[in-house]
Amino acid sequence: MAHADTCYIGKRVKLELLSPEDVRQIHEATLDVIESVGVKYHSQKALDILEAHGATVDRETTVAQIPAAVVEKAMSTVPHEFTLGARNPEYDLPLDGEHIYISSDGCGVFARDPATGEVRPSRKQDLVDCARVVQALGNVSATSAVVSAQDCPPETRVLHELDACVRNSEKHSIVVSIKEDWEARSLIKMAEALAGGTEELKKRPMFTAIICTVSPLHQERYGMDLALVLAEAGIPVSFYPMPILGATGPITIAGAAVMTNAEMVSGAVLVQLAHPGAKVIHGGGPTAMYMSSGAYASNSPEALLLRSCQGHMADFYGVPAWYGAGATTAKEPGIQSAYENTLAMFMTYANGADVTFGTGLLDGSRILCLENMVVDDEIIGMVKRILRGIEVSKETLAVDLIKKMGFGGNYLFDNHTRAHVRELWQAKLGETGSYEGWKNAGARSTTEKAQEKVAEILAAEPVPFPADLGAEFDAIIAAAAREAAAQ
Amino acid sequence: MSAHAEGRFVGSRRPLQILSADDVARIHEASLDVLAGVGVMFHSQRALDVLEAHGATVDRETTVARIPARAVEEALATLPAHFTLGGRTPDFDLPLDGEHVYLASDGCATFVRDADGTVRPSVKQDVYDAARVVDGLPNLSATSALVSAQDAPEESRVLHELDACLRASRKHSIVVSIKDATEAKPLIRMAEAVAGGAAELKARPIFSVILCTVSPLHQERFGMELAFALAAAGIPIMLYPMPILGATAPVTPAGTAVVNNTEILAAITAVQLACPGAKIVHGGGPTALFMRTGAYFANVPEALMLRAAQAQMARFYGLPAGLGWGGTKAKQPEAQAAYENTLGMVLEMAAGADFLFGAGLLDSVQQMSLEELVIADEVFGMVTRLVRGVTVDKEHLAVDLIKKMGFKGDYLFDQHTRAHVRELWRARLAETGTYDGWKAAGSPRLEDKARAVAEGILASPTPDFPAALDREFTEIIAAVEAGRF
Repeated sequence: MAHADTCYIGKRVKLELLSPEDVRQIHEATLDVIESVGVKYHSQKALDILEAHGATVDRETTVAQIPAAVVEKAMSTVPHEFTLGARNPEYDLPLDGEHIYISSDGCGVFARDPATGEVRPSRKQDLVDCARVVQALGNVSATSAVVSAQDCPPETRVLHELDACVRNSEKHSIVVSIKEDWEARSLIKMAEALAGGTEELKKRPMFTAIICTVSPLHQERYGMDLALVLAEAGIPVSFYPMPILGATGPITIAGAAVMTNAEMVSGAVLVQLAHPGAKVIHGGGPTAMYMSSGAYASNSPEALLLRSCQGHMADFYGVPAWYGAGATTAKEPGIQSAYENTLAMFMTYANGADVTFGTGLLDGSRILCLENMVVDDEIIGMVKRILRGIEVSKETLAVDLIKKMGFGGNYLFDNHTRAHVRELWQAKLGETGSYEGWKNAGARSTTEKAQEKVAEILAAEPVPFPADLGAEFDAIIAAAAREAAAQ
Repeated sequence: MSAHAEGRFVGSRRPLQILSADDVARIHEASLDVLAGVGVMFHSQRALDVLEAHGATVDRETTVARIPARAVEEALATLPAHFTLGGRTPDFDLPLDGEHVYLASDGCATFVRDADGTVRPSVKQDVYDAARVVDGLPNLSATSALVSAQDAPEESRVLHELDACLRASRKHSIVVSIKDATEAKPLIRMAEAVAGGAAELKARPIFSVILCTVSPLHQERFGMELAFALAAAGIPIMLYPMPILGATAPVTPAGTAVVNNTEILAAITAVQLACPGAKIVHGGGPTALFMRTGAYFANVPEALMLRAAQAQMARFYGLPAGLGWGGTKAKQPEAQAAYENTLGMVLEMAAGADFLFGAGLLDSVQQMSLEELVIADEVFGMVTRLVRGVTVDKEHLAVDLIKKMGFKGDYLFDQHTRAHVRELWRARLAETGTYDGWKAAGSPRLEDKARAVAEGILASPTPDFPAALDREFTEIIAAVEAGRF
């Protein structure tokens, strides 16, 4: 079975938090903001394209005010379905609304030692380890630069990060924090080498780029310039607003939904005008602020509700949806990380997300904790099963069986039970036995069991990586270093 | 509206549909088919009398009643859609109207897990302590005999348990393990003493009772006869099927939904025909079997989905849904308990449940853990906020504000932010600060913080308990123990 088949949920059980009328109001408010206030693009190239299509552009402030008709027309060329490619096609990920995936998160800067709990700056080896754990976990579908490879030169760091991901995992990769043109071109070269050519890459893009917008209503210069380069190469671009409710956006959820949507839509519009049909994704990781500490909270109910609004908007535009979930504020793996991430995953997928980004970090996406990925792997398995819903048919209603059994509870030995028992979800991590059995086995916590699982994965043989590709990657990274030095 | 209920308001909801409208209709039809074709074993001649009088085909020997659809429909017509659960004090009354959500503690474990991890048999003091903690937690709305008062005499144990709950807490109580219709009388007497009379108790029932049906397709004799006695006194009855997928019901969730629903409909029919207008809650705690260990499990996705389906069936029939929740298999307060229970909580609440029963137990409802009560309180606060949803109107869309701010992120100091900042959910237990701050505070674990909250409540003064009630409760229990009641 291909990996994606295990992520199939069909027409999902959906939580309709917003009414169609609510969605329409948010859409109209979005159009109003983009047309009357506009968006600050910080990129003359972006302004050229927008102006050519009828936007009112101020070259000095770099603000483009885009008429609603232009926005609507651009959004009409957005592709509704496409597939994310993987090094091994077994791990290709169709984004069609009927599959859900989780990837590892990005971009932390620390790693936590599972034995001592000590926290230290992150390095490339952490990405290698993370990619290997992602590869081994059945319910995690994509790797990412989960932490920054801070022991690599800054000018080629992002290449080292993708290098670590794809050498150690056969799954799709997610690239965050690209800043420079040569980085994008080198990444595309690496991906073309993986896919087997330019055309092949367009069909099966080996990585997705997350481009953060800057609230309120800014698109970064490099974000826009890079989006254009990546879109042309067929790389999916996820526009990722991260407003903080009450700080860089309205404190009310509906207001923040308008702003996030305006930022996502204004990014998508630019890309669609330049490259109609380019793959864009409705992304975002909004947060709320804990007023008591000033810390931001990506898993507070308001932030989760905002993602729910985004899911509805993505559905309205027919764009794949990809949101932050899993960025617990907890400082260690345990109860808080478990309940926060559970709520985040359930709410985000139940409101329409195709992908959540992602798992593996603590302390608000700062500290790598691989054992938490093992726990999240178990949780998302349960969430997937629930969102697939209940099949109601003659066979599953089993009225004839109920009548046959009558008042005796002998279902266990019936053929119907044997025929369907394998459909039941099975725990991989959680305790399922008796208290005595648990005591006798050493009274281990879920976290300890997850740590052992990580150690087991890292002790096993890594997936092989073709030597010729390795040499090609080395050459690409070396060339990028020379190019950066010449700048 | 009680002060407590105001904080539990979520307004009208657009529930998650785990079943399509067609699926709901098919489960309903299949249940009617089973009720008429196979019937349900009632084990109670009184129940059979009532059903026979309304057209059921009754076999007095096997105690099976085959119930025609028209009798079911007649019974459904008299079901009250809304009613209020009374608190010991009216401040904690709980309207069940679809627009409020509540969490109750669980029942009925036999062990207690102490702070140091020691596990020991439960006693009455544990029931009291748990009820104190429930009283002190803002997001918990009802107490229960979380554990059994095993040091109390068996014949009066259930009275001691309600005694402990009502003395320790001002909230509504849920009574689980009544075994005998004779126990109902003194319980009702205690509740009348609290409410101020029989008519007052009907208006504000101080406790409700969980009655388990027995899968597949049985109603217990004492269950039915108790139900009649309780219904006559105005006590709400939570009908609670507990089928095990693949053991006492089909392994397919849809099939178990039919067994569940058939048992509930049978009980509703008997109770409503005997006492039209009796207050009934659609309850239930289905579990699935772990084929590997032979243990049953309340928190597998299949069992959780069934509860969501029950919430939908409850809406279809127009009665409140009070569903089983919280039966984690975890052996200590830790991640597994958190993710299992949280998933169940958000799913059941999203599916439209009015209240969940119950918080505070580990190891498949065998061990009480005060930490779990405190953690449930925190998570339920978040879930309540989620279920309340998003307000979309001019004020909340804030388009004028967005235009005014333009490209400057100065929202923090705006009037609009000040006006709405208090609407934000606030963590009571979770870490929300910096990593360094957490380290400096000694890297506290959440389970330890939860224990400290519980101990803080236990160390605070007990809410007043009227002396008259004290006397009356003591007399009732003494009378029962002397065989004089």
